[in-house]
Amino acid sequence: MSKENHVLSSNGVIRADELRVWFPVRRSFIDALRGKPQLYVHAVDGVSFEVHEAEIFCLVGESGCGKTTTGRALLRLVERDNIYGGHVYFRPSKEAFEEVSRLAPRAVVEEGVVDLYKVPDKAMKPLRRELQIVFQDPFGSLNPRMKIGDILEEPLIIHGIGSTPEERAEIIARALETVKLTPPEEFVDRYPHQLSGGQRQRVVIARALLLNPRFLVADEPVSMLDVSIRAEILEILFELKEKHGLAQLFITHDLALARHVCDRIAVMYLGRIVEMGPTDTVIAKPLHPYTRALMAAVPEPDPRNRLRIRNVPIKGEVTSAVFLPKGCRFRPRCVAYDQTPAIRDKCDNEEPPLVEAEPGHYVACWLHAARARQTG
Amino acid sequence: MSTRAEEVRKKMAKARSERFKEAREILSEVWRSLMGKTGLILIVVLIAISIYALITMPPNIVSLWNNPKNWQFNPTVAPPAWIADLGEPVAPQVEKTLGPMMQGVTNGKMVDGIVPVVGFYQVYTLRYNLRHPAFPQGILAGIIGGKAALVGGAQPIVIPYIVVERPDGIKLIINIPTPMTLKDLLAAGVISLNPNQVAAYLAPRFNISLTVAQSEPVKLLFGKLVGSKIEPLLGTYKIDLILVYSGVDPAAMQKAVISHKSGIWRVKMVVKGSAYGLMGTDDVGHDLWLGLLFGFPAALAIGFFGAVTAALIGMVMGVISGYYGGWVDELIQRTVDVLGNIPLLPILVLVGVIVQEWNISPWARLFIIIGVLVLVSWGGLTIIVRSMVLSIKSEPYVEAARAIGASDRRIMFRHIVPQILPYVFANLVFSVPAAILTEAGLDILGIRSGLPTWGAILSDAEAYVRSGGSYAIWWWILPPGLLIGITSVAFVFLGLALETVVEPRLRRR
Repeated sequence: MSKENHVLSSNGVIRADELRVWFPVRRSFIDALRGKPQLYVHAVDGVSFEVHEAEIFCLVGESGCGKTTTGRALLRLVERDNIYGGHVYFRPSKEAFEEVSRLAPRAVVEEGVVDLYKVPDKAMKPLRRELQIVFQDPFGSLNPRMKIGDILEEPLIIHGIGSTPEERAEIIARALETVKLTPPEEFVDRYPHQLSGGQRQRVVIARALLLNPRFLVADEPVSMLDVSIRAEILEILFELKEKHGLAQLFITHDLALARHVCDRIAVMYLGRIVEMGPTDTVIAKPLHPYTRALMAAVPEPDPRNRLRIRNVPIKGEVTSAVFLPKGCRFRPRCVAYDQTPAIRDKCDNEEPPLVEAEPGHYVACWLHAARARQTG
Repeated sequence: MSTRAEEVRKKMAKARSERFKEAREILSEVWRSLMGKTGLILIVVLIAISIYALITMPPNIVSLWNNPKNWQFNPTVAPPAWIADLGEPVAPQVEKTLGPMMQGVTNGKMVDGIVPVVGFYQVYTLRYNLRHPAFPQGILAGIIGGKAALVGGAQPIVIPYIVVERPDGIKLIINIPTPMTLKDLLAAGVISLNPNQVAAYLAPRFNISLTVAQSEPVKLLFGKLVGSKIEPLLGTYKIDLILVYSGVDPAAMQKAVISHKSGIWRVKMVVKGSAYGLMGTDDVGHDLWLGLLFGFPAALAIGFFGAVTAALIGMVMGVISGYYGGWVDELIQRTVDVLGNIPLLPILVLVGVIVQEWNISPWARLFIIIGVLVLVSWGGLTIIVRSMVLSIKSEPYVEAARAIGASDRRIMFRHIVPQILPYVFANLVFSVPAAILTEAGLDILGIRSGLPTWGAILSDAEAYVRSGGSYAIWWWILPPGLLIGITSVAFVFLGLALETVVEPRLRRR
């Protein structure tokens, strides 16, 4: 990564830097009195990556690995109290940057870049416009008591976009057409429950687009939709990338989908990125034992294989994110650990660093640490 | 494109105008259930009567009620007049405001045959027809028009006589005519009978012992002896109030009275019946109809004020507690715990006793008591609202609202409050009777605001019975008790109907 002394590369939009999001486990009063240590769920535990303009960056991992928390943390939807380290650097638009640097000069890291968690709540509003999210659940992410028109008008009112109802209607009509909900007037006076899942998800995307964001987190946007509708939603996201240069973080547990959608991919396991690189490279040549296991678990569309029991190279269950094992956190499930006694000592005692195994392709595993050069 | 936008704008405007559709839907659903319909009808009737009461009642009803002088023309502890229609014998209440039937100057004439008069005199006459075997409660004359001015440099002296001519022809001077200055007489305002005087006067004439006469002097006046019992004497009584002026020049006095410069020229003569008005009277002579009428707006005001403020505080606290969490939540919840453990009644009695000592208006006193009730009772709703907010807060659309930059206030009032509002409203309706019943209960315990609320009337009845009165005072006990009950039931019905509509709606979310 050519960073020189900048926290963000020249086409980078947002960057997580050693980000840690922990959630304290509630202690009983008695336990606190006895002096038992405060326990934490290590949802995100030292994650670094950057998303560039006009790029779809994928976070892949099984449920509970912290990918959704990472997405929320990037949008500053996580309480500041739960950030136990690291930074989120964001390059807003010029106007937003000027506003933020006026309101909160301490949050400015370098020209054009702010540290999101140093921006006080009051100064977040101009940045909120540029950081948007599409949720997994299109049923829950629209207020069931508001009509589509009101839902779409709300961000406009909050940010003072379109001073008259006519202007706002114009903007809403355009957004609905962008997400192919036509004719728009058919939709504005309906309630969310009167729409299908795909239509709702498009409303959610339309709401995110109304504010003209620079960075969009798509948190499993299609996993609750019928397969027939997925393609349309993905098409919209593609278009946003191609036409508007929107940087997107695409969160999914589906490697096959990630392969189809993403430019770069990061595989997460228990709050850490274990492998990261261009999609094609990672898929074609997975380096980390966990990535290999995930690859092996992707169902094949060939019916001839339906009776074959496949051997997925992984064992056991996901370890608790509260009591992390010493050394490599994947070790208890790792097949390579069993097969290569030479590295066991390292695996048992030291957390493997994320190293560049080949240009642009990073992996955090002692199998590859030896032959790789450390990243800066 | 712009026609598209125009269409969109129109649809959105229309949708906006239909925002209250949901409230109307809930109402129509409530109307469909029998309980809801009964409750709504009752409440509408209650409100209509309250409006009628507010329009027709004298504005100073409270001070009017609390001054016994205003009620001395009424019989005491009298049942409603309409019991006559049920066949009950009733001596009617007759009140007449009169000018003098006769006035003039005489020199030693016997007016009415038994009152010797020298000087200027006036006669005011009331005829009273007793048709049913019941005893009136008494005779009273109030001075309506008069002025105490010196006549020829001297204060006139007035000697009032009350002369009753009974149907059997007997003529009696039933008061002991005591000379008074005109000034004193006008200050007293009434010429009344002293029962003991009446007894002392009548006993020899009826040839009975004084003790028997003293037991029931007024009965003696309107009755006849049948054996040792007194029975009502039916027929027409002629009651004359004769005022004899002395101490001044008679001709000058007459001139002064005719020109309304001094003396008395209008008198209200009353025979107190054995029954009175629409709802009877209590031991002070209060027209209970007025008190009961006043009770309608008072009960609704108490109920709504108590319920609305408790619901508002409860909801706001619950939303804040659930939404912000942390130490704010902890503080509010612990406060609720503490409040929930305060025994309500002793606190209210304590506050009531303190407030009774204060020299403030009865309304202020009442609302301080209700305010304390509210302060202690908002906690329950807060706990429920908090738990609802906790679940709504974790909905993705709340996070979505935060992502688009909505402020905390906007999220609370646009996304959370509308969800819990129907529930809060049902809760509010339920707590209306609680406030009304608490106020009535405090009245019974003797914590009085001074307003003639239903509870206060009931409490008066209770005190009357406790001090030796009979329980036969149904007109005094039943109406306020029933009204308290009906009002409470109306709101409980509406609340129950609302709850069945509102609860599945919450679950449907």
